[in-house]
Amino acid sequence: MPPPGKREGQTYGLAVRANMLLPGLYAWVTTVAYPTTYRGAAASARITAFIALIALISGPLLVMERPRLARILGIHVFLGFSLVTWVLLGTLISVDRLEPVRSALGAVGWALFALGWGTVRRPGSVPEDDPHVLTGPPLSPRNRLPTRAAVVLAISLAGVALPLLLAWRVVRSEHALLAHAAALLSALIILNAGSSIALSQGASGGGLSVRQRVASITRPLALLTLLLLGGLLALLLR
Amino acid sequence: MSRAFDIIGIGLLLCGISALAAAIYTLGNGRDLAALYWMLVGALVLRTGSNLVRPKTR
Repeated sequence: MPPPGKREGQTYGLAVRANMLLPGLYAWVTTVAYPTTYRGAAASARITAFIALIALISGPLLVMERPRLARILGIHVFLGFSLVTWVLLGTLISVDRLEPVRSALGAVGWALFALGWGTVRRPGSVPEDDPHVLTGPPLSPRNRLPTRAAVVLAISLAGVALPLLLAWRVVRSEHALLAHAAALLSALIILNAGSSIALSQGASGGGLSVRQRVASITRPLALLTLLLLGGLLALLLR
Repeated sequence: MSRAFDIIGIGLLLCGISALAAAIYTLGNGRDLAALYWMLVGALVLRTGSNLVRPKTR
């Protein structure tokens, strides 16, 4: 990566520090500092919250000069003392006492805090210009997938959306969460199978014979047959 | 023959998606046992389909 000009370097450094500090500060204010203002909050919780703030601010200040120490302070120490603060607050932050909108926004703040400490490519930089890059000929794909692979993938993605949307039909409160969990599981199963089937389009099946391919589905097919017969029997007996 | 397996795989994918969607739909109608049944059917259909097109070698 080419060394930046002085002014460019200052601006970049300020942007990097702001990305690290601002989301963390928001998350700290909404989820760590604010609960310590509740009546009955232990003094120790307020002390640990303040130490977490010091660690949070120290990280971005040191990130350019001492990146390793900055990460330890800005991430691990900050998180550790935030956690200790929550433990010390005890039942003051129980679920029935939380304000949902503030909690949701605090969660978003934490997510942005995690992203803020990630490393991104500087605007205008080219990865191949890095002095540590390993040069060589470009890697070309071994083969190209047929068009129907894209069709299969599109079907899978539509199939993933279907259970997730249908889960919102469940209005029974005790089953609503179960329905969303089941929908998520269904979506994962569909995505897994769909991607396998899409990637296998046009492939030779790993060089296996027809007999071997049929043998590989014997067990799931037998279970499926039993299940379908059982369902048919239950339908007839109703 | 390989193409036939690909087409069967796509068919099984569609059947599996339908079965899993039926599972969530019946759960919304309050039929929990039927929902579990259709989830198992859907999972097995998709497992069959992915094993057929991408057999697992031992």
